[in-house]
Amino acid sequence: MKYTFHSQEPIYVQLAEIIKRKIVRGELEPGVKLPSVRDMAINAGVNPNTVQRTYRELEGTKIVESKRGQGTFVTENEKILHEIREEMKTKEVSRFVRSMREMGYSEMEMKAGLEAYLAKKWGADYD
Amino acid sequence: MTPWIHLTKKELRLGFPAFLFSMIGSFGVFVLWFVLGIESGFIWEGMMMWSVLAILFNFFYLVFYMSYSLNAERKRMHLWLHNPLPTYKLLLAKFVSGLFYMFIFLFTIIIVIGVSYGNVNFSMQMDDWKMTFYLSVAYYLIFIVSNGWGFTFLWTVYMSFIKFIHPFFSFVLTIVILMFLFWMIDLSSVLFQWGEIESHLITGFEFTATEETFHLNFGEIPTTFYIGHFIGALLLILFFFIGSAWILDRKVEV
Amino acid sequence: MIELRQVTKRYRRKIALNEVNITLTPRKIYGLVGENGSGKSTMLKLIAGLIYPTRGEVLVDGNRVDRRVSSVVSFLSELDEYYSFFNVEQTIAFYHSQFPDFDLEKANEMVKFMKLDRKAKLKELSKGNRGRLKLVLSLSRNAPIILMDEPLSGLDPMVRNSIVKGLISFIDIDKQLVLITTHEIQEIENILDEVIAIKDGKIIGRKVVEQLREQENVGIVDWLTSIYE
Repeated sequence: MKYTFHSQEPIYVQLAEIIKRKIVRGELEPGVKLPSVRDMAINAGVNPNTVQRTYRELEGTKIVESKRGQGTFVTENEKILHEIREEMKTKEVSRFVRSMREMGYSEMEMKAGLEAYLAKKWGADYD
Repeated sequence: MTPWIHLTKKELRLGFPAFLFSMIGSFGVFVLWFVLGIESGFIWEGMMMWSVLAILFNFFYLVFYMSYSLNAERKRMHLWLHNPLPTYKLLLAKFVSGLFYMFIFLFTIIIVIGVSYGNVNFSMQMDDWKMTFYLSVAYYLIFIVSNGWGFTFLWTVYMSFIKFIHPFFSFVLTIVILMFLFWMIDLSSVLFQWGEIESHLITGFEFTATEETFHLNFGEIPTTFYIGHFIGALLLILFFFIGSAWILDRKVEV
Repeated sequence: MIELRQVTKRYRRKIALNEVNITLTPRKIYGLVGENGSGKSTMLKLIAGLIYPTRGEVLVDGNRVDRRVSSVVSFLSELDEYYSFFNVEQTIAFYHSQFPDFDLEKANEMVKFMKLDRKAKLKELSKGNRGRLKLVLSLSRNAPIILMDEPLSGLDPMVRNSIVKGLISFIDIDKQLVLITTHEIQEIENILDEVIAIKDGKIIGRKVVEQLREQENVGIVDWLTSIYE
């Protein structure tokens, strides 16, 4: 995967987001070891200090845990994984809702629009 | 010690073109002399003449070598000076590599002299020639070395000037300093006129060419050596050596 | 740690640095950015002990800097000059012989990473490959301070990319302080901890990059544009 970052937000936040998405998607399975700080830095093309900070932040949300001398692992705690999944969903939905509100759509319109979109696109070029 | 030896190896490679140039140049002159010798029938005499010229050139061998080697570094001072070794060792590496080449050069001259000497009717009458010979050789070598370090010293002086003033004026100023040095050396030579070594000298000098006898008699040439002069020359070398390392360390910028 | 205290550097006609005060601490990658002739190289050479301040003082780990600071500072010049009679292997061997902290294994690893021909003479190398070799030479030293003067300048995007990758891969960030000068900020934007802007011999700004993004929501380029005006 190619990492791209924009410059309006700290890289450690963006990188944490990318990793969280990978976990939620199941690309990084529970119990799996994350790349070492150095390898992650090389892959993402960022400063190792930034990766260190990313891992620290992720650890703070308990989605990963570091084992002394072994590295950083995706948590196997189902409850936490579920919470994160929900949290990510809520975050994305709230973003959608906020944006729609800004443009003046009502809640009914949003719901209807979403349902219609999903019904129409289902099975086609849905991404 | 090992870093210095590796550095000296690098200097040998860096200075090799200068050595090659001196060898090819002198060989060219040698061939020319040789051809002229065959034509005029004075082959061995020609070779002797070449030896004398080569020995004279050799006076400035280290000047020539150091100027080549130091100027080769000028473009890449940041490489040369970015080195944890003390500056005097950087300079010494250049000097030793130059000395090495100088001895090879000198050796070729000695071979030519050796080959031609037996074939030339040439004789010198000297009392106690051994003493005179050794002292002359020692003086000769000291002179070459002090020339080499003198040049190095002036080069560092010049390099320290060009950061502040125009290169042309730096050059002029360096020449002025050279003159001043000559004057100082001349002035202080009286101080070192001690420790006479009475070496009895060349009492006669005879050179016989094949066809007609060619006889030269200089009578007595007073070749008096002074221990003081040796000491003085060694002090001068020390001054140049320490001086150039000091300037290079503190005044020369990349 | 690097400290410049009230440092002024004057050349024949111009003032290259003007009363600069700055302190740089270990375990960080610093970017020193500014236009050509703004004083970037002068600052690096001062820290490398290759030039001396006209006024003020330059300290590395609390000691006044002279040429022999090179035992703890690895300096990469912007100049494209080498001992051209050496090939790649010999150049590395020479550096290995001169610097006690030179890690030959790391150098060999880097040569492989950079896909350099060990037997190629330096004068036969492309400019890009010479740039790569320079990086090998300066990063192979386990020196606490690494100074790089325009490591990307004049190189094509592919080479720049491999140099940035090499930089991330081979820096020992837990031990080293890296100071990079550049006027091409985009390539190294993501690897800098801090950015220092210099103009006409004066430091005109300094930012922790992540803070800049977090608090002002701007990247380095936007910030530079704003302060240069």
